Amino acid sequence: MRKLLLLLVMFSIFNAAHALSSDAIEVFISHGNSVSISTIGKVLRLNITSGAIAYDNLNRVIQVGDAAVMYDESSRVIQIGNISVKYDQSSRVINIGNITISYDFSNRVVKIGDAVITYDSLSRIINITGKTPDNMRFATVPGQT
Amino acid sequence: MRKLLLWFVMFSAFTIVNASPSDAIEVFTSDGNSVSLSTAGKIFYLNMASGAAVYDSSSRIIQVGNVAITYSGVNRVSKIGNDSINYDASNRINKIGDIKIAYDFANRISKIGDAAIAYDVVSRITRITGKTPDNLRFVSVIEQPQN
Repeated sequence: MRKLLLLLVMFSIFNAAHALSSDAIEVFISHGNSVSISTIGKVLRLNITSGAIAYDNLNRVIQVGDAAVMYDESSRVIQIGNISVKYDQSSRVINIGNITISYDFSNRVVKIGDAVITYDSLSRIINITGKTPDNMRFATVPGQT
Repeated sequence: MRKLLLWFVMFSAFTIVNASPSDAIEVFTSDGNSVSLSTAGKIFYLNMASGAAVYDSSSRIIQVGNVAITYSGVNRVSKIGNDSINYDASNRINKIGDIKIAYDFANRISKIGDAAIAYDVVSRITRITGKTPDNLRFVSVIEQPQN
């Protein structure tokens, strides 16, 4: 019984941790469709106006409208349409196309191109100074810390 | 001990459910910003290009850029800027502004305005025929964040 309880505690912690939000960067592709990728290169969401979506046998999105989505051996996105995604040694997204993504000491996205993102003491986004590039936005779960 | 065990089982179920939001409808506000609503009217995501975000004491977002967001229940959005959000008797969004939202037999969004949404056998979106209205998009959750 105690082992089962311990297992359930660990499972609960695991789930709670996975329920925590991480911020994402939304990349517009074509026809008003976009893909939001986490800072470690996972496709979190699709925002779609029209067109077809295709998946591979690993359940990964590989086509959105006329844009192909490609992955590396770690299932990180490396290409969305003709936009390449690059990573630093910590496996964080640092370049989407020619746009640089920067992080602060808490591993939060603080810059997308020239747009500066600020957070409150609860790590909620409170402002973007400037404007993100036309084909990118900052994506977050509001109010979740 | 059994009560504790039951509590953990319930907590696990709760976190799994919370970790799996269903698909949503994105509503563009202004300045290229948008909020995404679940079919029950809860704000799941905020996508921002510029401007400020303001929260109330319950950590609900109440302002995105120059657009106010109001609620009719604990977390149920009733208005985004000038667009009213209406609900049917099952508490599902059935109208955003003057755009109708329709559902299929499996309670999935099947239409946003004139745009028809199709799914495969495992309920993954496979196609949108037509085009969603300029200020709305369909949001499909592919994966939960893990970092």
